[in-house]
Amino acid sequence: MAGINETELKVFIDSVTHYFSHLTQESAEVRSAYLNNASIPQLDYTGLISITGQYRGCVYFTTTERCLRKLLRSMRESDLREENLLDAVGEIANTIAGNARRHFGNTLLISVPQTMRGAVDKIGVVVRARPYSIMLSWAGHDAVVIVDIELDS
Amino acid sequence: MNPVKTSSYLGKYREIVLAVAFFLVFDLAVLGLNFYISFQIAADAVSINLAGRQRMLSQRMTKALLGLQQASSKGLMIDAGLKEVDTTFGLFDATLRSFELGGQVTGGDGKPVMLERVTTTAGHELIRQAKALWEPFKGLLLPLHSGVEYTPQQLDAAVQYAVANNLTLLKLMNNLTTDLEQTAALKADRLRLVQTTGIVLALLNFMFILFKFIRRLRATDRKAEMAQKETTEILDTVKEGLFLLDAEFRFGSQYSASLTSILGNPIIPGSDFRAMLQAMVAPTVYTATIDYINLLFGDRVRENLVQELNPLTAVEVQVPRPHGGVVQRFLTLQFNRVVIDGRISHLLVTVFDVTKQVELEAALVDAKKKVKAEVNILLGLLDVEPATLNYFLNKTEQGLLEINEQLRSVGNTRHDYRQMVAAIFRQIHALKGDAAALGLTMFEELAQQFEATLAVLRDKQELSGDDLISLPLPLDEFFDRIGMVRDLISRLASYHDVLAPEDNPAALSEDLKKLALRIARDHGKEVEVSSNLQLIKQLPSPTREKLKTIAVQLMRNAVVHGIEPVTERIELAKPAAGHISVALKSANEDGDGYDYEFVLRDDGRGLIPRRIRAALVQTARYSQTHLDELSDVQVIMKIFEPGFSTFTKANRDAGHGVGMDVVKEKLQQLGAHLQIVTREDDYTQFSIRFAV
Repeated sequence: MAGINETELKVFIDSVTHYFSHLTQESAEVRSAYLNNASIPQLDYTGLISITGQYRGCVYFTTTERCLRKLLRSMRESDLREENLLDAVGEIANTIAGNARRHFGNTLLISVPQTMRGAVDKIGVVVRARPYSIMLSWAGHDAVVIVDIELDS
Repeated sequence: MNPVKTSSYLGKYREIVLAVAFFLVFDLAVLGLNFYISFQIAADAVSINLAGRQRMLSQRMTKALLGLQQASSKGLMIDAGLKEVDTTFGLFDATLRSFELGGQVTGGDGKPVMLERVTTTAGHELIRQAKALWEPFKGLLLPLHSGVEYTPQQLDAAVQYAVANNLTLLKLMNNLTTDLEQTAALKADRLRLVQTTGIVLALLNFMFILFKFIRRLRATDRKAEMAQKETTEILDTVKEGLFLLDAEFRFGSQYSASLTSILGNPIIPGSDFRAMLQAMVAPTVYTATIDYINLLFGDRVRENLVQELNPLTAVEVQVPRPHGGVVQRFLTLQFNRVVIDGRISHLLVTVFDVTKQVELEAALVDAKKKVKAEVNILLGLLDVEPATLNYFLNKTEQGLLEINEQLRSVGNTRHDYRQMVAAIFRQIHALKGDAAALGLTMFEELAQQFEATLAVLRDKQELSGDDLISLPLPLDEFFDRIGMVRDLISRLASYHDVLAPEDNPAALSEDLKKLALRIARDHGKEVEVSSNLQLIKQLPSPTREKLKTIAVQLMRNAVVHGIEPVTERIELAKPAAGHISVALKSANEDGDGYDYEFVLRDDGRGLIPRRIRAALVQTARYSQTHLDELSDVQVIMKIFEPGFSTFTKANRDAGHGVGMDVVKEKLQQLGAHLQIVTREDDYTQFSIRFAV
């Protein structure tokens, strides 16, 4: 109930789709949105930001290794080592944070992005019983933005 | 007020007033002394002149005598000589007398002048000596003074005396002149001293005044500067808009910095407040405000008594934005009279931006309404039979999970999206119907909102994944509400466990009766209930609870499905009110291992296999062929299957196909044996035998 509205949800999503549209020739599209009531989707690489203030919780972007490799290649980056893939996923999380800062202003305190590879235990359902999952598709690859925040009472 | 002000006014300037008074006193004193001493000096000048004249007279007199003697000896005319002697004698004598005693004498210009007596000791002595010489001389001169008859001897005697003493007399008069001059000089010195002292004192006084005045002026300036600075700081800092308004509705020159942003307009001192107000508020509010301000400028009403009339209290205004457009705000403008010398000079206007406060109040009212509505909704839940509610919650949750799964796994084409939205719409619509039938307004409204969101998507020409972002939100709300209701039920159940009185047969009988009557009323039927449940207190608690659930469901079933409506019963020559009996009996004596037998019997239409078959066909779960293969008993037993109902339309007591499956479940848990005996249009009896 103490959730967010559609506009606020889109703040997080738009930052990712714009990121792909601006940096690559192909735009990322929202495939669908649903509630996570069981397992949280975690693909190969994840970039996460923690949020406190008016809302609390976390927002993260997770995608496949192939997706990140393609992203780097489309940005003419030839170094496809793990550090670079982590940097790429961190950069997307950072973009989410920047957009959120612009929209919410001082009401939100946003952490620096954390990046991780593989199924990391740290990510679990932090706040919401059913975090929002927005599935994205870019160049035939899957990615998910998970928004797990709620109004801080 | 005035006396206080005057007193403080004098107090403030007392030092300066006193200093000025002293200054005037000094000046006047010096002026007085000046007059006095200058008169004295004038008098002294006369004395000096006359003393000088005495010197001259003593010599003229001697010369005249000598001339007279010579003329007499030569036989010449003596008249002029006699006249000179006479004149000098008279003047000298009168002047000498006046020096001694004071008096009027003839001055150098022939006019009378006042001569003051000599006051100094030296002067007295000189006069005494001069008189000692003059008196014998005067005696000798008297015959000459008469001017008629004198002897040459008398003239010789006078001449001899004059020659012998005139130098002494001259010297004495000379000394007198000197003495008088010294006295006059002394007085002049004193005058100078007094003048100098007076002027110095006056100057000091003036300096004091100047010093005090400048110091006070500087202090006042400092205070004024400080006050001005503080006023500026206050006006720059205060969050409220502050300004002064005169009787002609003009802005004052001082106003707080925040005023401009609150009103959204630049403030021009001296400009008309009405013009700004008119653009901001509705005409009626504007007119009322002008009347109110005029009322405040009049002195007929008390300010605090008319405050409630202020039309600008939390008033909605249109405030221009800095970069165009307007923004809606709620402002309160408070007007307070500024009274100076008993007159209302201005109104102090305080502008509060109460937008947040008004919004919060509105939000609070909304929240209260919402909470009240939710409480009512939750209380409404209690009207729904627990098993039915539980079934609804489970079914709804299952449905929502299915919807969520559809969202998760939807294909990536517009066609997929459209199909999915249509499917979700159908599910939610059905859910709304169920909720409405059960009177679950909360879920009905949620479904309604969800439908509205779906309708927007359904009516869109193009559907994309972006559009689906809105769907998890109402879905989540639904899940939340289900959780909330479950939580509430669980809390109520815990209260029930703790607070429920020991089961007593009378209470259970009463509850069953109430339930039967309520359902009968809802369905336009009449019913009587007789019960004998005394043995229930012998049962262990879990068994008791299960039996109660069974009793409730069977009672509900009997009233809804068994008992006919009154008209139907009358047509069947039955009593208008249906009768339901419920009893718990001991079954030990039967020797079949069961301890108790629970019997519920109604005199209704009976369980009719024909109608059950028809209903089963309607569910489309069984084909007619399959049903034809079943015996009547088998068909009757289908009433215990979940989802079965002979009611085509659901309401809160029937039609959901939930209830009899609960009975079946409880029977299984009890390990009970069920027997159903029924006859069409006559009765139905459920007998449940169980062991404890």
